[in-house]
Amino acid sequence: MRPPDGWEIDKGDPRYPETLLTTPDPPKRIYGLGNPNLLTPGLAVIGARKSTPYGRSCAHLFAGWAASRGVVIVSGAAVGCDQAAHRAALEVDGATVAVLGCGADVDYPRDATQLLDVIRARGAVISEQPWGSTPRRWAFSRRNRIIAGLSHSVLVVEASLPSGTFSTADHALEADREVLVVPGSILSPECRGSNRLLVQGATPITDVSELAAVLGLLGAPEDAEHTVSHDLSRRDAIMTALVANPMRPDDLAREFALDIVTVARRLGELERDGKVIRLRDGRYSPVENKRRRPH
Amino acid sequence: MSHHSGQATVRTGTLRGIDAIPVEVQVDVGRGLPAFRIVGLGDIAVQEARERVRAAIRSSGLSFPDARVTVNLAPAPLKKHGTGFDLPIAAGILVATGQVEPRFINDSWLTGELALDGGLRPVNGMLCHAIAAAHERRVLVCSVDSEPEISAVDALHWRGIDRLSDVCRQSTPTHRQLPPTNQACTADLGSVAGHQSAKRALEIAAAGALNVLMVGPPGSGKTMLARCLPGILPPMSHAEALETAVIHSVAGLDSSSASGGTRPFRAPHHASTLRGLIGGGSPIRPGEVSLAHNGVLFLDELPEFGPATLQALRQPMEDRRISLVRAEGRVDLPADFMFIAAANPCPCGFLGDPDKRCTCSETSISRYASRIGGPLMDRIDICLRVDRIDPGLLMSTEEVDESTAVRTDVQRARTMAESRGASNRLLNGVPLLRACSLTPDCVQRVEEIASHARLSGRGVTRLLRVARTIADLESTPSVMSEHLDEAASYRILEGR
Repeated sequence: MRPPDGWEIDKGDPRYPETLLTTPDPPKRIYGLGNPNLLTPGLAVIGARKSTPYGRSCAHLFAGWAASRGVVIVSGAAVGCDQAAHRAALEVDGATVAVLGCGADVDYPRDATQLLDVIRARGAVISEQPWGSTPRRWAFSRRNRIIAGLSHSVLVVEASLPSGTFSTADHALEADREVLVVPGSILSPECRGSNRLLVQGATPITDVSELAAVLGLLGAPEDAEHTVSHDLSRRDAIMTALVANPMRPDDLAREFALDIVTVARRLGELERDGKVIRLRDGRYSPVENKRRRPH
Repeated sequence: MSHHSGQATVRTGTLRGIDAIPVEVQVDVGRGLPAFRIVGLGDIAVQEARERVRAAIRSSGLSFPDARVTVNLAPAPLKKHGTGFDLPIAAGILVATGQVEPRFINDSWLTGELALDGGLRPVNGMLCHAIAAAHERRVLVCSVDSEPEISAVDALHWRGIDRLSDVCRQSTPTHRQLPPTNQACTADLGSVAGHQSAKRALEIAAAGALNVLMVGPPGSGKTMLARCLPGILPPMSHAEALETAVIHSVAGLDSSSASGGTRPFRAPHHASTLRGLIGGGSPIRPGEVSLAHNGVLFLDELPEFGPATLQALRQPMEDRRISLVRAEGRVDLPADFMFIAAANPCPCGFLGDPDKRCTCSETSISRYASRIGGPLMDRIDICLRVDRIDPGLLMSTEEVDESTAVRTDVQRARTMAESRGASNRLLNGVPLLRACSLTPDCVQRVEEIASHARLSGRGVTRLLRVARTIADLESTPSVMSEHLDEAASYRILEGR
């Protein structure tokens, strides 16, 4: 059943996003909540659900910067990189569109309920699935073509191998969109997929000025606020190593010929200072590079 | 020979929990139609003693009276279990009929099961019978095969026999030294390659008797690490060893390694029943939590254990004993164990593995982790990630004895904790804060850690408990900032 503020746009309707018409398989009808005027060519920012702080930092950085320049950020509201992109856009009062694989009025993933509510209020949540549709696996790979289709270009921030992110990249190529990829460590399994895309010819993005050039935006900033950087003023070998690649205490101890107690204490200290976090897999990684902005 | 009337009384006992409760076997052989009755709430095994006793007496070349035989087991309201009554009943009949002199059973405690050919064999819980007999200053008469089990009891006089016909042969009690036992199921830290941080965490856990959870992919060495734990715990005192041996004896397991001072290592499978884990049945058989008393209880694949099973672990982990309430009343069994568990990070096991890909969805991962349940997680002090190590490291490792040195440190740390009055794992609230004697600086550190790691009140308690133990390992009177930092690295990760 259509929610009171929900809208439906059929193919042929003047409000139907033109960008989608240029794709091989445009959806017949779009169900949406929020602002339908946001369905203009945007930047898709996507990445793995099993993300690391690196991927989320990059999503946050590029989505936040592009949104602050008026670009609509399109993503899939999935755990990890997707949500980081939506949040970054909302933080700078930018526009963002979430494309779901279930009904646009359905909260999925469940822990994104709050985020989806904010996007419905300040951005738009759309789907080609009818109201109330429950999440289905096939629907999610279908919706990836809408994410790609709604965008000017697709930025992959982090993807392992194999990854659902690849299907969005494939749709982007089919629809003749540019695929942008943030390179990652060649040692990190979480970056194997994104690096593979680079090998296959995707455009590498290593800072906002490169993104600006691709998007045709002016005013790429020189300020440090828009690069991924960590405070390395203290010459700290452990921190430097972690910025390059998340590592386990045992590996750090071996690498630097330190005893494990020293390493454990140093990591505890770095964590207490808010510089690193322990990942679920036991590795330590620099924290997400989020800077608070005044509202 | 005609022995047609007479009476005799023989002392024995029946097991209740881990105690042998004294029972008097009263035998009356009197006139009347030939019959053989046993009264006094014996279970089926006791009733079946009639057939074994009759056959054993005959095959021993003695005569079973052609008269009315009544056996009463006193006190009558106490339920009696098991086959240990065979020997006292047979001996009572032989004394009542004048075939054996009363002096062979006076001031004695007889326990044993008879075979039809008159052979004698030990029953479960011989150690409990030995303790009770020693307590009553009686001579224990039992199977010679019980020797390894009962020799742990000080000041016990006993007479080992192997057949019923030997009951009237006065052989002198033998005292033999036990052969040293080595339990193959425990390992030395030196035999584990790599895993430096895990070894350190185990050292801290052993020092504070803290509960541990290891998370890591299959084949990463979690079980091997757990097996090292008994070897770095200080040896059991004589009293502790006897307590543990008694439980093993009741369960019908080899108790000699426990009475020799080796801490038990119990690793029940996740398919174990609730009764197998916490104990139960009639007569009550001690469960794994009790068999691990004074030792280590290792639960591999923790999320695979049923929720009811994990819930049932709460009481023993809290009270250090398990209360089993049965029709015959409440039985308390000791269950003071160190808890160590292992879990895969996700259903497929490979989440976070550098080489193999995890095929699980985010939902199935969080559902898997939540199977362990809050109440049990609240009791885990140390959580560590264990990963498969580089095979090269495996080959380059020589086997050295690491456990001995660690055990010395652990012992020193425990002595320090005990000098404050309580073991670290029992520390909580104000006594814990007092034991840590934090400087204002350190209090601020704790607050910083708590806010970064989003620690709950319980989380802060665990952090301090672990930090206090680390400080004990260094013989430092108050907890310092570096102890807190290290302790923070062993905390539980809430889904990230």
